[in-house]
Amino acid sequence: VKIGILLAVLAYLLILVIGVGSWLARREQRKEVIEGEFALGGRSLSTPVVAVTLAFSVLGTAHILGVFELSWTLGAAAVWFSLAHVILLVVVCLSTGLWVRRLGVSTVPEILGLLFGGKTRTLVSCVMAGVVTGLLTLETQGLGILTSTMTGWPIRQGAIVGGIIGILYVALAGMREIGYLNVINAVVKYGGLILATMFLAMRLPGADFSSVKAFYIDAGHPEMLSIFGTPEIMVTFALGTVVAVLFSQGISQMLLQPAMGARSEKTIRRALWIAAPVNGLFGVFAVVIGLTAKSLPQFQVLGPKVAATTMLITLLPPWLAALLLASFLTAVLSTFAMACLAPATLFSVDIYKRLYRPAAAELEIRRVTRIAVVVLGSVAIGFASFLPPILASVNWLFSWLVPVFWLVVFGLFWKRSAGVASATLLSAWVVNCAWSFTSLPAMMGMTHMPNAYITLAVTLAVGVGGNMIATGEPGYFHSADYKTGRAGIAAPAG
Amino acid sequence: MQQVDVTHIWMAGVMLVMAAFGLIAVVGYLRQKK
Repeated sequence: VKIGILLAVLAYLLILVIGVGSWLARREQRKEVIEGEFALGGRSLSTPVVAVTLAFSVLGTAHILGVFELSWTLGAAAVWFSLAHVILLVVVCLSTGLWVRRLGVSTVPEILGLLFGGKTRTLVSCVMAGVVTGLLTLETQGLGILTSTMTGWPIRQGAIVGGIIGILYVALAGMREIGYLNVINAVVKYGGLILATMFLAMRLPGADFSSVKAFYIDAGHPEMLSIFGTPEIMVTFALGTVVAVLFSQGISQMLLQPAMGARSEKTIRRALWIAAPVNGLFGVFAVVIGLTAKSLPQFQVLGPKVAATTMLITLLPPWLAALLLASFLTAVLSTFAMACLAPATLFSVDIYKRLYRPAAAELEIRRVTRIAVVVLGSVAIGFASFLPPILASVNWLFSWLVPVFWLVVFGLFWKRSAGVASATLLSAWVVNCAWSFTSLPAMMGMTHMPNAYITLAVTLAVGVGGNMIATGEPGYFHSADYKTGRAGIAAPAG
Repeated sequence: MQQVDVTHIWMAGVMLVMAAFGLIAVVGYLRQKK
């Protein structure tokens, strides 16, 4: 069965990559594609397109394999990772998404350059590149888990093979195609996951999930069946995840890109009503599957990382198992590709071009990006072998970006001081390091305090305090620059 | 947040990447000043 599924998955992958590739090529021939049409869609994206892209672009390894893994220890409360993204979409559609559309910018570092100048922009680019490379190692782990499920190899070897396929995929498919593939796959993955949950129930005793419920109650852990878990889980995991996701992904390039390309601000506001429920429901199915895998002894022995995926290919009809795994694999490949291209582009555009070769031509930048993809991909394959727990690692990575979110808020609405901005970033990051690597949390008796709380606290203390004392230009939306520049659209890249 | 050692090595790896980007940027700034 496994060989059959492996072949079916590879066939799906090939057909999809080649199919979408040739469709795009034909479309390109028919009408001239304007520069930046894909990146920003010519700022004419409609409500359904914005909504679907917003809802599906964040459904990667963390939402599937991360939630499977975490429901093992936290139970149904793992769904808060998904619920945090619903709150995130509310914030994006009602605030940050509207702001970037109003500014007419096309990248997040560009906003920081606009508000605080080139040095702050570079500082944020470096840390952001590290954070996204960190996410890349987790996507590589995801590829390892899926390869391991299909071949029976250990995850570490799977990650090496998966990572190499991932790098080839980036080279072959290109950014424009990856964007389309991601949305197509998310739809297949979403439908497949709902079908899988239904088929799974039919295979369980009594054709429903009552045996799963009985397992956790008999084991003395009824709290694992509640999304509110225990008060401790709510404070450390649920609320910690909301803070980490909200204040880092609220200004993430991946989410703001569709908003930047929206037809109008009203389009973004309307998109919320489709994007939020569609995105939020995904986690419910993932949690049910994760909880079920642990309750069945033959899968429990496999451990949290591969139990759920192995259960799916064992219990589901082969066609559904193949479809589901294929869509998981392509989805993870797409998020791998995006997580690989983003830091590589940050390097080639924000560092190489700005600081080394201002006169570099497009072709040279593209070559540097390609080299950076291979270097970062190899680094990620190396670090993926440590196999850190997925969702805890995602939250740790997100905590680095919390000060960046608040700097944008301060700079747009209150005050722009490059000194305060740098001080806020550096102090939040230094304390974050101390919190991660020293016994500081233990000394303060707060060992379970998530890093995102700490960076948030330092950001607000230094950022608000600093801006109250220091002098600076008024918030960008209150400035003469903005009012006069409003008619003349795009702001120059810092 | 106290976690197992494997995670700490991974965290250090991520920070090394940040540091590498930072170093290349600093060298770039210094070269510009010359």
